[in-house]
Amino acid sequence: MSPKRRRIDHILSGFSDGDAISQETLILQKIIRESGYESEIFVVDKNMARAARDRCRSLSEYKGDPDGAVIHQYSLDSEAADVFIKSPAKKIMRYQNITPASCFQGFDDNLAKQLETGRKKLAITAEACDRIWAASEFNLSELQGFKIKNACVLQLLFDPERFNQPEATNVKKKFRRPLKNMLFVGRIAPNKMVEDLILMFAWYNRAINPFSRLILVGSDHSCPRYYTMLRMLAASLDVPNICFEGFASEQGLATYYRLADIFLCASEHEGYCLPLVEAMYHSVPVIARKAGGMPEALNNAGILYEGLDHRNLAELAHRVMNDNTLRAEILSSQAKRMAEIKNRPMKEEVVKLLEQVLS
Amino acid sequence: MIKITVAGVDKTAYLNDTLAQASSERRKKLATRGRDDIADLIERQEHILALRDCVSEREFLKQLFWLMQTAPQTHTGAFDVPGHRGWTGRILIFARKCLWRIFRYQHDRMAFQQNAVNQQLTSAIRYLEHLHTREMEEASLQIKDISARLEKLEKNKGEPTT
Repeated sequence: MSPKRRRIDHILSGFSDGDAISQETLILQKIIRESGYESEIFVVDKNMARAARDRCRSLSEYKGDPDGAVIHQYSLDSEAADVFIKSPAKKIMRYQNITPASCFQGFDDNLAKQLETGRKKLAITAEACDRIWAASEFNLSELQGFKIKNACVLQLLFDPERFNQPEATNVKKKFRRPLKNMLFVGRIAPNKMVEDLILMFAWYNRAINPFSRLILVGSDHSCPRYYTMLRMLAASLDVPNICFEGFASEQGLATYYRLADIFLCASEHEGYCLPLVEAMYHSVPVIARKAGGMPEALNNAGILYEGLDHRNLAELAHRVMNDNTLRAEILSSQAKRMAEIKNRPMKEEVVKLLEQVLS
Repeated sequence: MIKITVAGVDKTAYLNDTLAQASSERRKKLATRGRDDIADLIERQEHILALRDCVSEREFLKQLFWLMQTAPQTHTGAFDVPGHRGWTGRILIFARKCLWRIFRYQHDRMAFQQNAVNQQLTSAIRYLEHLHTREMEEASLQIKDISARLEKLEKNKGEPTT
């Protein structure tokens, strides 16, 4: 009879394709299984996307292996965090950062409350863990002052294989006219400051180059009221070619990146920001606000800005798209950063950290 | 404070002035074309961006209703037709402007009907909101009254009978 394999399970408050946390969980699960452990993903029922039901199990089914471990992606308060704390397994908190509750006040008071509670409970949860893997130095810095043991940085995992897909013909057809495409990828949520991109694009389209598009790819289900505000703003500005694309499949996402002339992110708060890495992978010049963990994601690649108003941001984007020397400099720095990421011994890093937990 | 870092190198001094100059020149160009309204339109979005500053969903909804009531109409004014360079560009712009004139009547007719629907919808939402607020106030008064009576009953329960 073969010996029972130890389990390293995952507990999530929600799972949906396209979400960076969910994607990383799949990568971790693959590494864990290849290393000889059993691994399942347990998710709060109501937050499990229908398409994910073949890959995830209900949180109510979670038992926990006292000889194994459990990884919880901590980003807000939920029943998943409570189940995680009570687990008999060794506890690993994967700290993805908690969006400030103030970003969601007015737009979604319930979610704001969950975020606030999540932040209040962070110390208790962190102190109950055997290990903390922060997704960035920025995230780790938030845990200073807590009585935590064995915290380290494990940068957000990136799997480029996801993008080795044929192009999505519907997306390519929709954007077949050769306009300059400015792209943003991310949930349509208040901390992403999408309104800054819309104002920037309004100036760009009306004053600099009318043959342009702003393509916003990301689910609008996170915060419908915020999405309403953005639609009102776009309508009020009467600017054509602001394209709210919603959620994109992996194939669609790859196509959007291939169509993009520039990637912009005005987010005020990010734990890391995986879309920056995705854009660099597709050789799209990146301009991002210097905030949160974004400087670490870029690591001296692309452009970081502070204090630019919408007009100057539009001019900067125009300069990047038209100044070959500047563009080459940016793409060269991004290629260097991508080489670092591709050569990263992801599997070995994770296995080493797991062995430290289980030993 | 403005700061721009390119590939890890601080290029604020190099870029900031050129960007500001380019932006200022574009503004002047728009003014000479008589299109000052574009810059003004972009600046004047505070009424919508004020939704960001709402501290509760109730406040958000109040602000949203106000916005819906103040601007329910579709625009039917002329708009900029983006131009191409060269003679093909000029032909294209002329053709587009002709098409716009031809379809203007039908477009205005549809816009009028759409505006009527929008007004009816915003009115209906406003009435529903008033009704809801009134019902909440009445329910709130009833609850206060019941709580007061319950308190009185509990107080009397404790008193000795004569």
